[in-house]
Order: sequence, then structure tokens, then C-alpha cells
Amino acid sequence: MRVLGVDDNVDILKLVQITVESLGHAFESAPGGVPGLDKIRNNQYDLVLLDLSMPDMTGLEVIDALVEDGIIKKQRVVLFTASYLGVEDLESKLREKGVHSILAKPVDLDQLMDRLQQIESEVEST
Amino acid sequence: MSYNYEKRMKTKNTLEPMHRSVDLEGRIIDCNDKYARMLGYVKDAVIGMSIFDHTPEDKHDVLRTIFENWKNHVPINNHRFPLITKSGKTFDVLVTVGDVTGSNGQVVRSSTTLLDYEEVRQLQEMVKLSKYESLYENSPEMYRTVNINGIIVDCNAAYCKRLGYSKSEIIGRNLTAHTADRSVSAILINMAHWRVDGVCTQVETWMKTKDGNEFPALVTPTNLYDENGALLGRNVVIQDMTEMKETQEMLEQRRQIDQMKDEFLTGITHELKTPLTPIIGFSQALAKPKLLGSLNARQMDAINTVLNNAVHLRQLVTDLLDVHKMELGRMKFDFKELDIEQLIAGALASADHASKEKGITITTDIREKGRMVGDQFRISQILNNLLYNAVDFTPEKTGEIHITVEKEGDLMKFSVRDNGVGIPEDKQPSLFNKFYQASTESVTRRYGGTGLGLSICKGLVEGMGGSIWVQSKPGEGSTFHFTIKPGGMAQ
Repeated sequence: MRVLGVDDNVDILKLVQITVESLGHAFESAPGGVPGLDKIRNNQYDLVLLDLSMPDMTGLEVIDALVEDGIIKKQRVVLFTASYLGVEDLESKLREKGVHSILAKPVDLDQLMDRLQQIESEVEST
Repeated sequence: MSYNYEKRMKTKNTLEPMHRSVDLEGRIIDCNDKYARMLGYVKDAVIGMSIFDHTPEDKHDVLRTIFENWKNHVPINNHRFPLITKSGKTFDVLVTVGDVTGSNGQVVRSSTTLLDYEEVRQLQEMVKLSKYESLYENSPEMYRTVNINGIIVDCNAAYCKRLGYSKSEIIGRNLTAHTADRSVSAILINMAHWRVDGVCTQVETWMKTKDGNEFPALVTPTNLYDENGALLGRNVVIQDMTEMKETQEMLEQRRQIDQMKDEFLTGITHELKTPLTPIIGFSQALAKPKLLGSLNARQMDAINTVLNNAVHLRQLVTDLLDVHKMELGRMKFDFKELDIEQLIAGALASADHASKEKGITITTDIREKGRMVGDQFRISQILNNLLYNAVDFTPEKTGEIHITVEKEGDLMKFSVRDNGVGIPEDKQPSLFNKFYQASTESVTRRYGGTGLGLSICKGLVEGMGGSIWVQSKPGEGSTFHFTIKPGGMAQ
């Protein structure tokens, strides 16, 4: 799989990179919402792990931009949130918009690996 | 009582005050139409006449005295006095004389308001006739009665006292004299609307006392009609809002401080959790040989210690935020339909690792199967907390934990029983207090150990309309029970 990580915290990006690459996938990173959106528009990924709270452009703004562009379903977007608070209410709305799923941070590494494997099998079956 | 616009128009003329302006010689230099009409003249004919022309002859001596008094600055408020019309009819008016001064401060003429005594009497009579007369006069709230032009025709003792005037200083004045400047235009607009549509509306306004102090007031009017249904005026209850305003301001300040505290704590929690994500993540990564290579046994032990402490710190931060929210009454619950068996299965799964590590058996007895409406996340949080506690305080190998779910009245009751060390009776009441730990041995606990767990459970349970309690004897284990009101708190 080709995976993009979008997060303003480079340590978290590094951790995600180690995890993704250990499972044999290709990983690219973007250190914020703006460069992340740019990468999604110009490349084809199988999965985007998107942080919610970023100073330059929030994850929700990135999603809205992708919906507007009509490319939200071009790849699977998993929203990577720091807190479950408030997002639970948003979950159904986000799913309607075309977001694949939500993963609450701090994420257990095993959970992240499980989610990656689950998405990999979805990608393979399509 | 219905309000009839046409009827009011018919009687309108009798409800306006009369005005005249008199020079130092007693000549009328100006008047309003009503003054002229009431006396049977046209306005032009009145100008230049003497006030004595409009006074019955037998009262000329009295008038002379009053007139001299006025020139000597003796105030004249609501003095009852007769007028005589062109055709010789007399009628009483209430006379209030104001001064108009020239540039040198000398009185140059009067500005006199004359109220038809009959109208005032009629309105006062209506108040007297009503069964609320005693309430009106003796009420601790302020009462005033105004005619359709906003002239005050009656008021009660509380009104006089708060405004600092005597009753005779008040009767005949326009209500704007008792209204603070900032509220005058609003009151005039309110009165203008009322004169047209007769609709009384409750308004907040600022009043002004005799010594110039202003205070906030809530004004609640009721219409007064004559026997034909024509609007005569309004009875007004005035509540002094000074204290209420102060309380409101204090509450608002407190609310703002609470909100700032809330935002600060939510923000700081986020900031504290952010670095924990890579700390916990990399510790977990280091413990997996597949990710970053193998560690030796001592290195593995070290990184697991880092991991356990970071997890503990994360729990502490989460707990602190929960406690803070409960203290502010901001804990929100998300009530949805949930499957009870799935709920218990989830709790068992989260305690699975810890219980297996200690060789503890967990059994369940779900007597109430099916679905209920509740906050799955928060009920799980309570169950997990009780389960972790049970695991921590239950002996290795021989430990047994039993979960029961049953209905009790309209409540759902969950119980977690263990065969652990138990809790002495004297320590049981403090168990649900913040930062209380029954045993110092709990430092070895794998989860929690923040001293907040049970106090959070108590807050959550109470927020969901239930209660939490313990039954325990040292050496015989403990049973924690909690109830939840399905669907949340009754409104």
C-alpha cells in the first residue's frame, strides 16, 4: 500500500512511518494540512492517516476541501484524532462525507497495526 | 378585557393634561388647545387673558396668595383648585407650577400643568375599588398608576420611599421624570406603541431617584379601562432589580471564569497528551523486535517501565480532566441504545490481559439481556475501573471476580464481586472521595492508581441518574454495586 501520514507532530509521523514500513508499505509524510492536501491532490494513495488538530489547516478543513474537489473517495482517509471528545458526534457526519474511519489518539501501536492490516485486506479485495 | 381604539379616541381629550404659561403679571402668554377648549375658548382668545378670568370670583383671594407664593419660590404641587369656563361652569383641577427662568436666573414665567381632577379621581377610584387596594398601597414592590399620557396619577408608599419623593411631589409628574436619561426614549416609544395598540409589555428600564441615583427595574403594566372599555391608563408594578442585576453580573463573571478554567484545562490536557503519544508509541515499538530490532532482557524491562509509567501518566491526565468537568457540571453523556452483553464482553476484553497475568477467573451472570439506552463509553469506564480494582486487590491464582447485571425497579444494576482482601468498614465511606486510596499497596497496580478512579465513577454514575456503593468485609472480598437509569437522568 501507499500510505500518506499528515500530522504537524514529526515524532508521531516518525512513529507511524516505522509502523507502516514494518508492515511492508510505502510511507510518505506531510507536516501539516496544507502540504498534506497538496500531496493528496497530486498523488494516488491507498490510505491517508490525517491528524485533526493542525495549526495551518485542520483535518476537518482538509476533508471539506477534498469533498469539494470530489476526490474524498480517491483514497481511504482515516482521521487520527487526539481526543475522542466531540469527534464521536462528528463520526456519522464524517462517514457521510466519505471518511473511512476514526482512530483515537494516543493510539495503541497494536491498534494501528490492526487497522492497517484491515485496510490492506480491503484494498486487496477491491 | 378588550380594548376599543375608537372608544379611546372619543375619551382621549379628557385624558390629556392642560398647560398654560403665565407671566409675572398673571397674564396667560401661552396654553395648549385642551386648556382653551376646556374653558370654552379658542386658543387665540385665551392668550393675553388673566388667570383671574379663569378663576371663580370667590377664589380670587386664594389665587392671589398662591400667585404671590409662586413668585416667592414656594413650590406648588397638585394643588386642587377650581377653574371657571366661559359659560360659567366650574370644575376642579390639580395645579402643578414649574418655573421658566431667564438668562439671569430670574423667574420670568410659569409652566403650569393642570390635571382634570375628575380624571385623576376616576383612576384613583379604580385602584381603590379593586380588591387589590391594600396590596397596592402596602406592597413592598413599587406601584404607580399613570394615565394615557404617562402622567402619574397615583403611587404607593414603596414607590415614594424608593424614589425619595413625597406623594404630592409625584402625582401629576410625567413618568419620564422618574426615568433615567438612558431609558427615556425607550419608555416613550413603549408608551407610544401602547397608546396605539393597547398592548402592555413588560420592560426592563432604569429609574431615577430624586437625588439623581439610577437603578435597574422591571416594569410590569396592566391596563385600566373605563366602564365603556376605553383605555384610561395603566397600573404598573415596578421591581427593583439592583440586587438581581448584581447577582446576575456576579454569576456571569463566575461563568466566564469557569469557562476560562475549562478551556485552559482542556487545552493543557491536549498539550500534555500530545508528547505522550510518541513516548507510549516508541516504547511499544521498541518492545516489538519486528519494528526496531531486538532488545536484551534488561533493556526490555527498562522500556516496559517507561511504558507503564507513561500509560499511568496518560490515565492521570484523562482522570483530571474528568474530575474537572464533573466539578463544573460540564460532564456530557451520550445516550444511545446499547447491547448489554456486548457491553460486558467489552469490559471483559479490556481486563483480559491483567486478569490472565494474575491467573484470575472472571465469570458473569447477565440476568437482564437485550438492549438499554445509556452512555456506552462511560458505563464501560466505570466497569473497567471496578474490574481493574478487583484484579489489583485479588490474590494471584485463587482470585475470582464475578459480574452481575440485573434490573432493579427502573434502574439497571451492575455488580462486581471479588474474593480479594476486602475493605475495613471504617474506610468504606471515604472510598469514593478524591485522591483516597484504601491501601498503599496499590502502588504496584497496573492501571489507574491515581486516587481518582472511584470518585470519577461516583460522579459518572450520579450523572446518569444512579448511585454507587460497596459491600465488603476484610478477608471476605468486596462487591461494588452501581445503578444506571436507562435513558439517563429523569428531567
